[in-house]
Amino acid sequence: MTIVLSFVVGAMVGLVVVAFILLTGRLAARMYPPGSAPWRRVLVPTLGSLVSGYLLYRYFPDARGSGIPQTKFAIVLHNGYISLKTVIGKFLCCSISLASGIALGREGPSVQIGAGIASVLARRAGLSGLSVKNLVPVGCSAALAAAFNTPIAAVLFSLEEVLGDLHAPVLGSVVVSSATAWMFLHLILGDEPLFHVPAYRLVSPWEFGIYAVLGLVGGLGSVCFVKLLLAIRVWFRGLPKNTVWLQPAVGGLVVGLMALLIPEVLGVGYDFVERVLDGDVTLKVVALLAVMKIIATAVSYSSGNAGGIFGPSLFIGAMMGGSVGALAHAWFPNQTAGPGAYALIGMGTAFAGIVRTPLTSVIMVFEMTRDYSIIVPLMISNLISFLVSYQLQREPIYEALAHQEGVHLPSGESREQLKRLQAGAYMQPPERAFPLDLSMAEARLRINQLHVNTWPVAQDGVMKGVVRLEQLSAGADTDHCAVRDSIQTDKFAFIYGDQSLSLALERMGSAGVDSLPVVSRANREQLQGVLTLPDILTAYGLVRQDRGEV
Amino acid sequence: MPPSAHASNQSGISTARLALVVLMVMLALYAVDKFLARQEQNELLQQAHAYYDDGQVSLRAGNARLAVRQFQSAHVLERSNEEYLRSLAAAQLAEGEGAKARDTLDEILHKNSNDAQANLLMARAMLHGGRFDEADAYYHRSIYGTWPANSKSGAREVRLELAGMLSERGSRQELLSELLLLQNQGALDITTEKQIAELFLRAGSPQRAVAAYRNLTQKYPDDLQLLSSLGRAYLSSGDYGAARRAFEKVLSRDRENKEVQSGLAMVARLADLDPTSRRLSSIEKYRRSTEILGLTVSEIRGCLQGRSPSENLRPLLLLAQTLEAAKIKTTPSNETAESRLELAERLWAERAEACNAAPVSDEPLALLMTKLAQ
Repeated sequence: MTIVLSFVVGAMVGLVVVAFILLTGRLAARMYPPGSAPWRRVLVPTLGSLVSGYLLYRYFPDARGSGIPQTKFAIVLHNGYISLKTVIGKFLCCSISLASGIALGREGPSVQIGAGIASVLARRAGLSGLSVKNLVPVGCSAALAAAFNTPIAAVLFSLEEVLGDLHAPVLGSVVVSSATAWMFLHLILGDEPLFHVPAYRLVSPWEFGIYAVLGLVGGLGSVCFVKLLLAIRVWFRGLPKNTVWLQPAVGGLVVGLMALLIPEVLGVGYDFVERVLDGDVTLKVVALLAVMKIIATAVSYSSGNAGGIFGPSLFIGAMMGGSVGALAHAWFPNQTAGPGAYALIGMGTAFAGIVRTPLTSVIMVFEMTRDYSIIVPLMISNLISFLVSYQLQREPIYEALAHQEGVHLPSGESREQLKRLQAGAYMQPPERAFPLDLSMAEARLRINQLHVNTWPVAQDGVMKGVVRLEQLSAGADTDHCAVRDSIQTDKFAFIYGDQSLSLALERMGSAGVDSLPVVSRANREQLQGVLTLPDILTAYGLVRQDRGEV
Repeated sequence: MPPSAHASNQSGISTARLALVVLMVMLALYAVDKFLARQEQNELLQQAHAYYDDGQVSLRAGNARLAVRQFQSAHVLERSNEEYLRSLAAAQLAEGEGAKARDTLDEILHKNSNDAQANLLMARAMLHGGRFDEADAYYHRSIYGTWPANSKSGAREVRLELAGMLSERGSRQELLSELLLLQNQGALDITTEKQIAELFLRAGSPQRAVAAYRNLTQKYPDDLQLLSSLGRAYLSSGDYGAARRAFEKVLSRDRENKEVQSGLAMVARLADLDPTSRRLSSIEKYRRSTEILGLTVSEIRGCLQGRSPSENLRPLLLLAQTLEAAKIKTTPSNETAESRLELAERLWAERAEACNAAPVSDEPLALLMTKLAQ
């Protein structure tokens, strides 16, 4: 049933997203016919954002913003619930604002539209809450596959960013929907990559150094963009509530005024990116556009317009890459490829730095260009950009945006951190286990001192069982007996050293114990240590070790 | 019907209804998408064509830089159109960006290596980069490549362009073979025939030039320019009498024709210098051969411009100097005249290497030496 529904979701989302892309493109072409007067570049984005701003304020408040954080909210907070009204609002408002030239992208909104369609279909099909929640990332991957023409990256993004788990059980459904949406995209628009690029090659090994510099520049640029966006958003959020409907128009006006100087700042700008990728680069223009696009997108987004930051991050990256490439090619013409090659890699670095999905960014740029020769430089630059961005701005953009909304999403990093809290790192040494010949009185005393209700018993490092406090009943006739007579030798809870503390907590809870023997994966009878509830609390920073207080 | 069966039945109906609705929505969306996609495609094609037209206008107006941008825009919008790419390459060449033009043309030739127009542009791009051998190869690929159905004379024009390049480079043998192939390609227009006749002269084949010009003057007897060119061809072939007659014919109809006047002066000068004329006395032949030797030595000294002569040239110049010094003592005879002429010819043969430049082909000495070599 889930697979069938994934196919239906993929087809439906693919068709809707293609319609969204085509409609936005056609509307934009009507707004800016060739040779139109410069005043249009100010008036159209201002009016467009005013209209969409009012619609968002009055009718579709949930359709504001990019769509990625909102989708994550839906999964984490609302069991995958996204209303049909939100889907329609997102489609309508984004079509208006993007067609008017607002410097935002269509991919983020597509993701929310896709997630919304999946959510609506799942509810209409009468699925349970959990199934609805599981189908939302299926819609996301279908939307991204259709919007970017990148089916593999779409799957990765849904797992890496939306779910935060590359081994999520919905992997099969996500793949099916992505492939289906991609198939429909090809059926309608043909087999064309998002960007056509000349065949670039590595001219000399020295270029790896320049690609590393590009990674650094990309990381710094990404941090500037994220910090600027968050800061402007804080400022807008501080304005009176009754100006919310008007705020998007400020973004539209700023973009329009910038477009008077350089028209390429308008819209998502993929046409210009393609020209830059072709090597049609003037250093002054691309450097200026990188700065202006950072400002334009930050203001557009922060002011409350509907649109995403995927597309702009690719644009910004291409401009930064083009700048670095143009400089490098001017200084070392015989050792470097043309600036277009650097623009191509730059797209990935900005994406990795801003969205913080390094794996997705590599695959996405590869799929968008279908040029395998770029993979190694792309990986180098992306990794450096990611690390620089991580060092200077710890919180990824979508989590930071969610925090501004007062929502604390479980980040991929925090999940990874939890996984890194392994039992082996916080356990007590195996020598602390009770020997078989320990008297019951002594055992009872030690267990009480340890504030636990159970403890492992071992002899020469070999696990013999566990002894529970209630089995160590007091009495003159039993006090001198050894614990070997009271141990539980089978079906006791244990854990491996590389398993997480959260899993240990689960095991303790289900077994009703507050200590677990930590055993070897190679030999379950080999005791490696003892993990207690206070140890776990200490690991999470909840216990003062000197007093053992919670 | 039990309640559970009823509920199950109801659920089945609602699922079927949902599936139907989803199917209908998908069909509607598919139709909308197709319509939008077709509309977009049409608009993009129109816009691309508009860019292309603008680019052609810019290129004709000499604004190659703008043309490059316009053709690039057209290409981005319609990548399958190879005419846009070819025009882009042509504009890049006009802009002086040979390397970029080669990259652009590589894209076309990668898909279709027989594209005659792309090969022609590539030949020009190679020529721009000074890669003559590769240019020659691409010219030939263009000649034997696939031309559009409406381009009947394309291959011929390319061969003519190739002949021009070979003429510039002084590759006489290759030039001659291209010209002969051109002549065999059926009916040619007057402009092409004129060009071929002129190129025969440059290929060192004045007899063929004479034949070509005679053929043309028979077809167009009122064309004085052709008659004048025929005179020049006769001059190169060494038939000074025929040259004079041709020039006089022109002058009888156009007395102010400066070119013909100088041609006649040249005929007179050559007639005065020509040692091969019949019925010359041995004294006169000796006088002419002595003058020819003197002119040859002067020509070589002039082009050496103070540089020391080569190992081969030095003894010849020394011999010429000795003969000059012994001029008064020497008895004029046919033998002495012949020996001086032979020395002059040997000096002339060494001239090319010594001077690193071809002689001006319509100078009297050069014409005379050509005749003597025949």
